[in-house]
Order: sequence, then structure tokens, then C-alpha cells
Amino acid sequence: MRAKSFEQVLEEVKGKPILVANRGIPARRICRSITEMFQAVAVMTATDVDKTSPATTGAHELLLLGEDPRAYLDLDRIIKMAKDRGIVAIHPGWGFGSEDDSFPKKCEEAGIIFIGPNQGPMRLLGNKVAVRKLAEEIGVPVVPGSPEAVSIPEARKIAKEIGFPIMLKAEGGGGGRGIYEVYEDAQLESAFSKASALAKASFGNPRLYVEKLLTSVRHIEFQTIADKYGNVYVFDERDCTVQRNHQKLVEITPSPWPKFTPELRKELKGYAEKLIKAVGYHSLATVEFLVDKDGRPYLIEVNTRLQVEHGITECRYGIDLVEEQIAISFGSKLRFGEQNTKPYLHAMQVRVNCEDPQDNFSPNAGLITSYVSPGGQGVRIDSCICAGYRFPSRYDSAAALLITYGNSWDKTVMLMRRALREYKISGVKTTINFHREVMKHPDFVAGEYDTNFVRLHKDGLMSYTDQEPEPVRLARLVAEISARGYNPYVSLGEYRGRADKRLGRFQLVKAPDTADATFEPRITRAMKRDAILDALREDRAKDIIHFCDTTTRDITQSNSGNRFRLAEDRIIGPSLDKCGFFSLENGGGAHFHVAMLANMTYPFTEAKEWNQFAPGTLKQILIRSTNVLGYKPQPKNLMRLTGEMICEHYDVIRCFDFLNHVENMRPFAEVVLHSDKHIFEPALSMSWAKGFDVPHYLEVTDAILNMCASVMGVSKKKASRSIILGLKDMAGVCPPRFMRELISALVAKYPELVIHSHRHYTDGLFVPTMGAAAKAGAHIVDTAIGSSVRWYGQGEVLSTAAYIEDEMGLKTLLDKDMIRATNFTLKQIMPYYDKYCSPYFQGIDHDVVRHGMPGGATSSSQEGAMKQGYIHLLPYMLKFLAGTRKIVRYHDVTPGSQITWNTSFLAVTGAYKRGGEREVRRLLNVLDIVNLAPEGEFTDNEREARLDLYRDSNDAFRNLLLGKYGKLPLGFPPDWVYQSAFGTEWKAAVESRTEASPLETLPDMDLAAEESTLDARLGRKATPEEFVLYLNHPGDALKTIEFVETYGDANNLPLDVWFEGLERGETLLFQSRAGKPHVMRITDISEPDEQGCITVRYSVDSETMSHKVKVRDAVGGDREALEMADPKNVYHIGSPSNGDLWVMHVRVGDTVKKGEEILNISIMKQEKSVYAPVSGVVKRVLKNANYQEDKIMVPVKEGELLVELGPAQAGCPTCKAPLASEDFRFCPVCGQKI
Amino acid sequence: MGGEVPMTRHFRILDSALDGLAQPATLAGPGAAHPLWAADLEALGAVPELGAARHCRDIVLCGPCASTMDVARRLVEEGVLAPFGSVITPEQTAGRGQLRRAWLSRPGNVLATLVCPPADGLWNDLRPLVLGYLFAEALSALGQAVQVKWPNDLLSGGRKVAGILVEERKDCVLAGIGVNLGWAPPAEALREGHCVDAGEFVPSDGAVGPVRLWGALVNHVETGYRTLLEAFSPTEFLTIFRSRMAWQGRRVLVREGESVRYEAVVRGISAEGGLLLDRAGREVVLLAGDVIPV
Repeated sequence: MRAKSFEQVLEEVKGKPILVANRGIPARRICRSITEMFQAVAVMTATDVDKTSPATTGAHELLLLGEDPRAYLDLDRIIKMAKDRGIVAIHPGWGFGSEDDSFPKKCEEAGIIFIGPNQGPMRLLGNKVAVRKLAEEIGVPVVPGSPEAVSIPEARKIAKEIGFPIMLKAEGGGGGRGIYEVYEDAQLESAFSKASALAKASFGNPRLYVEKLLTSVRHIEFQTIADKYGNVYVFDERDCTVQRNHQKLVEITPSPWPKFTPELRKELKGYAEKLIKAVGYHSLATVEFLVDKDGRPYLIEVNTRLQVEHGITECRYGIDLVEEQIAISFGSKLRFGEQNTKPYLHAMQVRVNCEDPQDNFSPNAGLITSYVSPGGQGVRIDSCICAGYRFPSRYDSAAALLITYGNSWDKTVMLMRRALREYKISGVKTTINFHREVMKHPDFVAGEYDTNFVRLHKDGLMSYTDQEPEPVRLARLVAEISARGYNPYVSLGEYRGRADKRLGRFQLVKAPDTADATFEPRITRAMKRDAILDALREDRAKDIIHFCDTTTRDITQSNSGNRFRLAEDRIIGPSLDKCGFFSLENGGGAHFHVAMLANMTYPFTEAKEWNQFAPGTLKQILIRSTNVLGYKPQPKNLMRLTGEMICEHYDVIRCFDFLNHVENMRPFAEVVLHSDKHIFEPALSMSWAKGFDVPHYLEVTDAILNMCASVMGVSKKKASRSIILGLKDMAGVCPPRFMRELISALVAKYPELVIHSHRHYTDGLFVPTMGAAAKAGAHIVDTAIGSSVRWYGQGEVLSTAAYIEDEMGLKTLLDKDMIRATNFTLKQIMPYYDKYCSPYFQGIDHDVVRHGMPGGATSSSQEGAMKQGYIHLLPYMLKFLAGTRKIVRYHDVTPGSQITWNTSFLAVTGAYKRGGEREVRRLLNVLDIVNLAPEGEFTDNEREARLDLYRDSNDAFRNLLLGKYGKLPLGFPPDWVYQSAFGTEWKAAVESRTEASPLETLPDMDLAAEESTLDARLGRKATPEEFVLYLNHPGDALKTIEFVETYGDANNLPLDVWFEGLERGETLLFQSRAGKPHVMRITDISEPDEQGCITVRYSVDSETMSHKVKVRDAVGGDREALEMADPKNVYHIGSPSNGDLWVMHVRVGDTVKKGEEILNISIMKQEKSVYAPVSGVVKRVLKNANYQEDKIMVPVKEGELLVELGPAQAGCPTCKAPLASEDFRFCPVCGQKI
Repeated sequence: MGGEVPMTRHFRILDSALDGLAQPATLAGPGAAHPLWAADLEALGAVPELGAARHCRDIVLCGPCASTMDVARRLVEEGVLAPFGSVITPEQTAGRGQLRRAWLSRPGNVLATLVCPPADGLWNDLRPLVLGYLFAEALSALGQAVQVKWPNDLLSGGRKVAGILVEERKDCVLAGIGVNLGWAPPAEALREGHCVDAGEFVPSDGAVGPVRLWGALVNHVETGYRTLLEAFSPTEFLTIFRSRMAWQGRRVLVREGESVRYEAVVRGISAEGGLLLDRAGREVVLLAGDVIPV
């Protein structure tokens, strides 16, 4: 045969069909070469799964193989179809038929050119035993061992010669399979028989041979190419040492190993050339060696095909191996030679596979939801995926081959790091993150490692977090809100639907710049405590009154359910900072809890940010004495821990106790008073009623000053100079005359005590009362910006200032223009909160002076009564409130107000259930009598009747009576109250009363244990803030931590989107945490499908994505719509595995005990009992089965939610009524002892 | 773990009644039930009583009982039986198969429960297959060749000669095994829609009865189990399992739940131990459900 030139071959092949009998990456790669220089017709085989895959885009035609996914292996059929089509040549690619030595023969018989070697050389080089024999003959070193399969005695003899450890290798194995390691003689016998048995089972051939086990080696291989005329060229080595279980992960040329010398390269190239020439081989082949740490090489095998890692050789030389391979098969003379083919670049390839390295590289398939490939100079990519492609589970997991090349090893590494940073694949897990870690590893960069690299550094290489970029995560949240029409995280239920009219886009118009450049704030965060207090006293002497602004805390707590977000704080905070306020109340109370419950924000991070965007003004927080930021007394060590964190971010700490039990404030006083920067503001909880008069409050003030003096170790007089006294009229009930009287008395008694007056608007008398307070001597009053003022929070700043200035003749230091500008901004924000977070009942309620329901509770409690169907009883409840407040005496401040409300609600509804409205009226009549007549005048009947008043009270009320919250301010109520509330056990109750602070008996919390629980739960170390949040509100803290991990900082979304989402076709501009701008556009929101899912299609920064949102139950029975058990929720019982549910033992409402069998799953005839993880009540049963009755088994999926339990305390066992608190001992509805 | 040589295994008589679960066994009782028992007991000679044995791997002969599963569970809970301990009875009043189906038997057949050792990860999931394979190997070593119909029915000559039921409760895993030694239920006695007819297992040593056969089976299975877990990965085991698997390449009717039915061809075993089926060119993995030859 005469050698053809490459040009002749081009001429010959042009326009002719060449088939690639393969799929995926190799098929696409080879089609590229077919269509470039050759301008031939690229034909690709494709099964049904593959016929529309991205890889097929490179082919002109497809040879359709039908539905059998294994059809790529049916060579006879492929050849027949190829012949029918007139195919002139077939390229086998890699994998599938590429190593089947019958392939070239069959092609030859069909008159088709096989683009690869001839059968003979292929068979010889492909057979490990034969190639080993050949190598030994021609002087190529091989791994010491048996030349062919051996018996046990032979194996032992050889092992003695070469020394342990050895490997037993299955003759029929390959690709890392069928290898057993034997470390000592004693293991040999049993290992041999096992290996042999397995080899027979695996490969149908029990024969084994022996090889020395090399423990520290590099995998070095040489690409060779030969034509049909004896010309051979050997390229530089590829170093494939980064492997996992003999599977290559990273390939590099030239080897970065410092010990790989030019001499060794020359030696190995010589061996490769000898082998190829010895068998008269043509086409591509790879000769693979292991090189031990002393640089000794051992031939391991020869691959007689194109290899996955061929691309790095192409990059090193600037050539196309496939093109040359095709040309050679058509008779072209090899164009590569020592003179014209020179290496000049370094190149590296990483295998991007759809595998989860963190789960032992388990393959995963599924929809690629987004795909951004890297590019730029020095990058080559061969992939078979794109966005929207459903990666099949049937074939190998290779998704892309990413190559970088540069003129040095360092450049190549830096290029690869950059390319991996750019590479984004969502929807399936890939090896990208793993490779990023490899590229960072110092041993890898230094080239100093062996084939154990991945195994030895497993922990480090797998320790990445697989998190998508924040814009992508935030956009997914927007998609969820948009699909529903409401935001489930706001915790306001389904407050709007998609079809509802929306308020419209929030597009902030900035206020005209009216800032007074000369305005100097009187008080700033740069000042120390004493300087601030002195300034307040000096100012008051000059008739100047200061203002604390509550816009972002108390006002919006009372009127917007605390839903005011950090996002909006960021907008108005900077201008609030410039209004000349004494302080900004921006934290504490329920705000702290709701930050996590509904705003999905870390409250201390929020506070920290406040001090960045509003750095000047003091920040104020409200603390509930023993309860701190929660709803029940906290152990002292938790109070201190929380207190320290509070002091990091807040300057003024207002602390109240609803019983005015001053000792309850002591732990906090200890934290705050020991700083010369922070100001402690203990507050009087205030009611206006008999006994709660001026002398009473002077007594409480005295106790407060004594406590502070004792904490500070100073005189009472000094203490009175070092704190601010807060006056906290939470319900808004104290009239102007009372405040005037009280403050005048306080000023007279403690002339240097700074007084800060706080009240609510509920009674409508806010402005005159604050005027009276100011006039009487208060230094600071609480107000808010006008557009936020409603009914239940504070009054308005400018009207209050006007009254104080014009009517009272006092002065203020406010920058009123700045307040107006702030108000203008806030006006644009408030409509959203008004629309979605307003209280149900609204308006001024002067009757608050009688019933005492404070702030937002005025509406929420009454709304509760309405929703439970008791609106007709509401007037009675309010009357009961007014009456009971005269019997059991404390202040209507959290949690007291809740206790009073519940007591009234239960008494009135209880009476109603006993005897309708008539009984209710009788009860209220009794209440009137009790409050009007002196004890001595009661008849026996009346004494009996009054025992009905508290018969329905709950545990919270009873605990209050026992002194468990602290000392009641006017002492314990009369004994008959105990008789009524405790029944026959009343005497024991009276006996067990205490006046000690609950703190004295509350044991410290085991903080270390709690911290490790949290860390385990999060799977990482919790931050100090996360820990404190968790200790205060465990459930909601976890919810927020998970939310932030899933979606990022939702405060980066504008107000309208947070509440309403987007509509189809709308665009959202937003910023991610780093301040980078992003754009999101929703292209489509589908109708709910059979599974009850809405598909939202959208783009983020021009990347197209889609997200499915489940909005209702499935109508069909499709598995995709399954509700999965939350593995972190102990009440969720999921299926332990895929299988058949055949018996469900429980029904909704059943009470189950921990460890009780709940259901049974059959999987492969193994019957698995599933037990209740905790005691509780069955809330939901999602699938039912009773095979013995109906012979029906119900398929279930691993992790599928099957049963949901609720807390055992959730309901009364008798009447099923919900119980509001875990510490109830009696059902408030039916009185059942629990 | 696997290196240690198993201690000697004893037969013991459950001498006292387990309330509500089993009657006390006497040497005369089972012997009277079937000549094969009598022959076995005679061959074994003096069988000691269970007495105060703790945590043992012995074979406990109990009297007629509801089910050996319940007896074995009680003995595990009481700390008497350890993994590879077992219970055998001549007669069950409420023998059960999968899904509380009745297991039909007569005295002379093997009715036993083996306490299984706990296993981790995939080995735990594959237990039914492992037991199926090991019992098939053991039976084949003692008589005619036996194959496993996925997941663990034991077939010989196309008939089911033995069945296995695995029950996993808390930390206690039990495998119940019935071998049709002297009698196989006739086709008409089997439940409607049964997969395959029942047949008898014939040991090479025709004189061996249920007790001695069980003793040999347990020894084989324990040794096999230790070797398997020591030497092979679960993936390798699946390859080995395939070598004993019945019905490969056969066309079957698949029943999943009550409503799903389709025909498919048995292809092998999936990586997680499921039955790999070819359903009109599409690959399907069956983890639960039943297959019947078409």
C-alpha cells in the first residue's frame, strides 16, 4: 500500500459519511474533527434517551438505535445499519465497543474502515498477560509477578521472590476491577480462594495472577500514534496520579512531579515506541506505567483507543489527535515527527462528573437547572450537557472535560482555579467543588503526591460547602413568593392570592436634601454615660426636652406586628440618625423574636448594621427582666450571655418587670451598670388604679435605686445620678394629671434622676399626657415619625413637640426638617405594612383605662375571641377584665396582660358553656358584688358564687398566684381567689406561695451541652450570635439559620417583592450581600399542575432557570409530588427506605408513646418496623395500608413523610382543646387534669 | 471479626413454657410428631436443657408454638439468644410468611428462626439477599442445587422449596426460614396468585431430618456470612448473588402495590439490591413488589 498524503485523504473523505459509534462527550468530540478539515458528514449513533441530547448537536445525522439503552454495544447491528447508510468509516470513541477486538474485524468484513488498530495488534496489546510477556521479551520493565495465571503454591513461591505486599489480579478484570491486596503470607490462602470465587462470579473467569503491590507510585502514561507504514511518534507523558479507586480524576502534561526527569521521560518514551513497533500497531495507543518513588518504572497496560485525557496532549502540542487518527486509518502518512512536533505548553484536565464527592462520589442524574461554562484564554471544554438537559442515570456520569493550558505549571493551575470558579452547574451535584479543593491543595500544587492523594486527603478535599451564589438563592425565594402570591415566611397565613390586586412596585423617591449642615446633635454614641446624663440634666434645667424615637421598634411592633424589616430600616435609619433624637429604640421586646419568626433576620446582626448606617444616635433596646427577650424566666447564666451580646450593640437598655419585682432586674443591672458607656434604664410598669398611686411608685423607685446602688457599690444618691428611670405605661391609661403628680413627686424626691416617659396612644390622650410629663420634669419622651403613628403605639413627634413647645412653653432640639424628610420616605413604606400587617381591630379605645389591654394586644386578643366564635361575648370579656384587675393586682404589661386576657376569656367562655349568656351575666354580677361590697357583708351564697370566677383559670394564672413569676406588687389576693382557682387543693397552694425572685431557684443552663447540640444540628460550628438566638428561641432560630443558608439575606429584596412577589414579565433589580447589582425577570408562572406544583421560569442576570413551587395537594398520585419528612423534625416519621407500606397502626388523633410501632414497611421481604421517635399525638397520616384486610400494599419512597406527630401537650386528651403552654396542668376548656 | 473461629454450637431444649408463645418441649413430644424428628433426636443423643444459658448461639428446640419468630424475639429480649442463635419447632399454629401471610407446613419440615447480627449501611439493606444467597449456597451443599428468586425465595427445579421472612424491629433482626423437607403444600392450598408452586427439598443424606438439617444450615450460613462480610464489598456481593439468581432473562409480570402491573424482563440486580428489570427498553428497579413468570 502506498502512503497517502494528508491532503489526499482530505480529498478522499470530503462529503462522505463517517460514523461515531458512541454517545456523549466522545461522540461530540470526534464529530468536531470529522466536520473540520475533512468536511465529512458526521453521523452519530443515538438511543432514544440520547437522540435529543446536547451531544448530538455536533452531528449532521443520527443513526437511531431505538429504545434499548445498551444498543451501543450491539456492534453487529450498528455495522449493518452503517452499511445500509453507506458509512465509509466508524470511530468507536472510548468505552462501549472501543476495546472489543472483534470490532475492527467486523468492520473490515463489512467493507468499512475502522478508525483504530487492526484486530491482531489490538488483541495482543489489549491482553494484559500477553503484553506483559511481550514487554519482558523486549526489555520493558513490568511489575514483578507471575507471567500468567497461577495456583496457590505458585503464588506463594512468587510472593516469596518478590516479597509482600502483593496483588491478586483477575485475568478477566480491568479498569481497577478485580484486584485484591494481600499483605502477608497468612492471608494468602483465604484471599486467593475468595478472589478466585469473586473473579469467577464477576468475569466468568476464576484465574488469577500475582503482582507486586506498589504502595507509593505515580501513574504516568504516554500517548503514541503510529501510521500503517511503521512511523511512530511518542508524545510527552500525561500524569494521571490523582485518582480514586483507579479512576482518573485529574490529568496533567507534562508531569509536575519534581522527580520526573528528562532522562526518565526519554527512557519511558523509548519503551512505549518499542512496544508499539513490536506488534506492527497503527492508530492511537496509550502506554501506561507506574513509577515508584525512586523513579523505577513498571509497565502496567496499553490502551488501544482514544483516551478521555487525550485533550491535554493536544493542548501541549497544538494538534488534533483525532484528525490524525482518522487520516491514518484512511492511509495517510503520519505527519508528526521529532523535527516538526514540539511541546510548548502545560495542560491539565479535570473530569467534571455528575457525582457527589461528599457522598462517596455517588452518581446523580436529573435536570440541569442552570449551566454556565467557563471560557476565556487558556480554557478548553468538552461537555455533553446544557441547561434544561435531564442528565440520564443510565450511562456514565461524565458531564464535561475541562482543560486549561498555559506556558507554565503555575499558570495552568491558576487558570484552572479561575475556570472552576466560573463554572456553574445547578440541579445536580458535580465534582466542581471537589476539584476547587484539589487545586488549592499545597501538595497538589507542588506536584508532591502519589496515587493515594485523594484517599489520604479526603477530609480536607471534601470539606467544602455546596452552596449556590446568593443571587440565585434569593431569586428562588422570589419565585416561591411569586408562585403563591404571598410570602409564607412572614407567618401571616395566605394573606393574598396571586390574582389579588397588588399595591404596586416599591420605587422609592428620595426626599429633597434639606439637611441642615450646621445641625449638631446634642447627644451622640461617642459620649460616655455620665456625660450623657449630665447633658440631659443641664438641658432639662434649660427647659429642653429630648425625644426617643420608637418608629422602628415599638410603633411597628404595636401596629404592624413587628414585620418592619431591616431592609426598610436601612432606608430610613440614616435619616433618623440625623433628626436630633436622644435615642432610637430599634430592638428588643417581641421585635427580637419576630426578627427570626417572620423577618428571617439575625437580630444582633441587624443591630450591628444599624450602628453602621446610623452611627451617631444612641440605640435603645427593651428587655423583659427575667424573661430577657423571651417569654419565660431565663437562667442567670443565659441572662448574662444575652446581656453581654446586647451591650455590644445597644447603648440604652430599658428593662421592666410586669410585677415591678426589682430583684428580677438585678442580673441585667450587673451586666449594664459595670460599663461606663451603657445606660441602664429600669422602668416602672404602670397602671392607673387603686393602690397603684404615687406613694406606691415612689416605693418601687426607691427599691430600684437601692438595687442599682448595691450593684454599683455606691450611694443611692450616686445611683440616682447614674441611671435613667423609665416610666412605662404600656396600655396607655395614665391620664395627664396622674403623670404630672407622679413626676413632680419623683423630681422632688430625686432631683438628679433622669426621667424617661413612655406610653401608648390607646386611650387617645397621648399628646396632653406627654406634655404634662414634660412640664412636670421628665427629661425624655417617646414618640415616632408621623406616617408610622396609628392607634396602639406611641404618638407623633412633631405634634407632641408642638404641644410641648407652644402649650407648655418648653424647648426641643429636634431637626424638624430632617424629621419631615424622614416622614416623606416613611410615607412611601408604610402602605405595604398597613395593607398586610395591620391589626384587625383599629382605632382609639378610651375604654383601655378600664380593661387595660395594652398596645397591639387590644386588637389581637379581641380578634382571637372573634375567630373562636365568641365575638358576642367580647363586651363581657372586657367587663371581666375591668373587674378582675381589681382583685388580682399587677400591671398589664407582657406577660401580665396575656394572663389577664386568658383569665377573662376562659371565665366568660366557661360560664357561657355552663349556662349561656345568662350564666355569663350572673358571673359578672358576682364580680361586681365582689368589687363593691366589703368582705364582711357577703352572704354565704355570694361567698359560694364568687368561687366561680377563677374556676376556669389556667396554669399561668395559677403560677402567678403562687408567686412563680415574682412578688405581686400589692401582695397576694384574698384566700377565696385560691379557693376558686385551685379548688380542693387551695390550702396547699397558699402554703406553697413564694415572694422570692424566680431567678433564685432557676438552675443554670448547661451551655456547653446546648452548644454541641446546636453544632450537631447545623453540621458546623454555630456562630456566637446563632448560639444566643438558639438559646432564646430554639425553633425560630433554627428556622432563620436554615432560611439564610437556603436563600441568603432577604433584606436585599424590596418591600413589594417581599410581600407580593413578582408577576409574569416583571423585572426586579436587587443587590446581593456584597453590594453587587443583579437583575431577575420572571418569564412565566404556570398554573398548578397535577402535583399541585407551579413552575416559575425566570432569569437571573441572563441565566435562565426554573423552580417548582408546591402550592396545593396533588390531584394525581405522582411520586414527584411527595411530601418528604424533614429529617430534623422529630415529629416527622418518614419511610426508612423505598418499599411497600403494608400496615399503618395509627389514626389521626391517636396518642402514641415513644418507641411504639407506628407502621411497617416491606422491602425485599425485609419487614421494617417504624417506631414513634417521641411521644405525641398523631396529627396527620399521609398514607394508609392494611394489607391483611384488603391485600393492598402502598408503595412508599425513602424519606417520604408518612405520619406527622404533634407534641403530646398540644391538646387536652379529653376534649382535644389546644393547650397554649407546655406547663399547663389542667385543660383550660374542660378542666381535665393533664 | 471474621477471623475468629465460631464456638461450638449446641442443641438445647426449651424446658419451660414461654407464656402464650410456646409449650415446653420434651424429647418425646417432637419425636412423636414425625419420624424424622425422632431419628434426629436419636442421632443427637442427650440434648441438654436451655436452663440459664445467656447470650448463646445455640439452637433452641421449642415445643409447638404460634411462631418461632415470637419465641426467638422473646429469647433475644431476655438476653438468652445472641446473633446466630436460633429456634426450631416441629409445629407452628400461626406460622407466618411475608405480610402476615400464612406459612403452610407440617411436622417434618424445618420451621426455624435465626437471630441475625446487626449490619451497617448497604449490608443492612441487602440482608434479605444475603440470607437468600447463603441459604441457597448451604442448601445446595447439602442437596440439590438451589437458586434464589429475588429477593429470597429458594427455588429448586422451578419450585419453591424454602422461604425466608426477615423482620427488623428496633435492634433485633430475625430471619424466619421454612424448608419443605417432608411435605410441600399442594398448589390448590397456596394463596391465589402465588408466584411459583411449592416443592420439596431432598437432602443428599436422606436420613437427615429437620433438626440436623437446620444445624448444618446454620453452620454453613454463619461461616458464609462471616466470610462474605470480611472479604467482599456489598457491590462485590451483588455480583456473586447474580451467580445464584433464578429467572435471569425471563419475562415476568411485575406487581407493585395493587394497581400497578406490567410485564418486564429480569436483567439482574441493581446497586442497591433491587431487581433490575427491562420494561420495554426502559430500565426499572424494583425494590418492593412481586414478580410472577409469564
